[in-house]
Amino acid sequence: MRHHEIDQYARLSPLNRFDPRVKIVSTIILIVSMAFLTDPIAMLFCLTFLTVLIAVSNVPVKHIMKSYLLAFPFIAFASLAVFLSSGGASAPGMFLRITDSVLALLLLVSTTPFFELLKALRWFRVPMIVSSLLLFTYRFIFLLLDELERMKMARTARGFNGGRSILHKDALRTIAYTAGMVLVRSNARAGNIYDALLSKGYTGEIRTLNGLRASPRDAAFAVSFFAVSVLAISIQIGVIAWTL
Amino acid sequence: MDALNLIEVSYAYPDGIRAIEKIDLRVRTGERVALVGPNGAGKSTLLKIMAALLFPTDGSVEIMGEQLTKKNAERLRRHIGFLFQDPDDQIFMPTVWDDVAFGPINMQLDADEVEARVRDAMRMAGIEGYEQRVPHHLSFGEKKRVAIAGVLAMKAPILLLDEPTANLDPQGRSDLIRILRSLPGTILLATHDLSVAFELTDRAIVLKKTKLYDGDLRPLLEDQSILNKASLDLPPLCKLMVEWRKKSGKKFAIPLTVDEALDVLDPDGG
Repeated sequence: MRHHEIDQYARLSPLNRFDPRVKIVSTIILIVSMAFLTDPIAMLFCLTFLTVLIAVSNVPVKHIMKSYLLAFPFIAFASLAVFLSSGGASAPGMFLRITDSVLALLLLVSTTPFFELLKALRWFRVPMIVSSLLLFTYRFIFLLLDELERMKMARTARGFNGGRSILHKDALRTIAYTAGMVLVRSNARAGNIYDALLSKGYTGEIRTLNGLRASPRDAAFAVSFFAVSVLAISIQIGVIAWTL
Repeated sequence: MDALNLIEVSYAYPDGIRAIEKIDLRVRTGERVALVGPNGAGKSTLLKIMAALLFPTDGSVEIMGEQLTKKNAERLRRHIGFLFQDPDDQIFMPTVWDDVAFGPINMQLDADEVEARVRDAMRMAGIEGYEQRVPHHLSFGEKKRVAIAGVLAMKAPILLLDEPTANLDPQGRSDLIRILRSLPGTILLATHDLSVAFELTDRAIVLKKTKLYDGDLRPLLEDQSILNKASLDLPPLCKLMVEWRKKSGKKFAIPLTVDEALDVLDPDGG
């Protein structure tokens, strides 16, 4: 089965040359700043900045959009909740704000190899158990999908077509059995994968070939994110409009 | 020094099912040994114990002269290269290069050494040019080669191979046997295919929860009771020669290879 690996274009991206620690901090600063924004112009300003970065990142827009679509139902649900509780005026703001944050995170994970991202998190003293959990969650999602695909094929080969309706008791029973079997089989496979990692010297610590080394170029990267954050906040509180 | 020494090793799964019972086994450095037996005989479990991935419920294991404990397992695993039966269980990283380099990087080797080991291992496994390929998009045979390259890159003195030729097509199988033949060091492979054992090893251990046989391959072929007990089937060539021996009344050792069979059938080479 062909998976949608989130970092598959990371090594080809010019943004991969920046230190992952700097990228993490810059992204967090931007996301926190965006969390305070309600002014649509400020949010659109951030969106433009992120769009430009995505354009220069060499990561195909289709790849970013595929990942974004995974988050879209949650964004839509949150916006709908705001629309129902606070009225129509706030919903687009919520939609833009979450979209900006998701795009900022997607930019980070699409332009940084996953292992380097984890290594940077370890540098920030994120506990080993958390980095290991992230690593295995990321890998085991694909494992679950693989097992699901195999079970689906096995079911189809033996004439299962979903029953008359999803609510039909036979269909429900087959789906329940499938879910159970997928979990059991994935668990067995996950055990084997963990054994394989142990046999290759994995101890829980994240190791990569490239050492973490920040340079003046990384400072420029951080300053650009910081500047955009300050500008967005300035637009929000009216400093820029007042100055003009 | 013995590469591996198992003394009365038993293993029971948490549900109480006993996978292996009181296995004594000594493998000398540089030796090539086949662990043969039917499915469920405990071959994979025994290999995992020797790889310090499982700990015996009874008995003791020595790896390169040092007794295995939970404390030193991490260090002793560095002596072992383990090839899993299913390469999908073994391949973890997003690109072939990353996966082959995973072991050497964990060994904290410097970048040049990692680079050199990965290059050598990929050449030996015949996957040069696959560096940036995504492993999960490769064929089964190619994945098997990636898994082998990952093991070779660690340069472990002991290689444990679990059903290395399982599910491979004939070409993939012969390619893999050629690669495995070229490898140095101690090799222990688990298989239920006796022909693989003939091609790669000189000694066989027949396993069916307990050790049924330990010795040279040729006497094993003549011992029908052990073969029956372990549900082992002779390869077609051997079966043919056994039948011919019965019919012709001639006396000869069962040949293991086509060349040996030709020598028996046509000793003058005419």
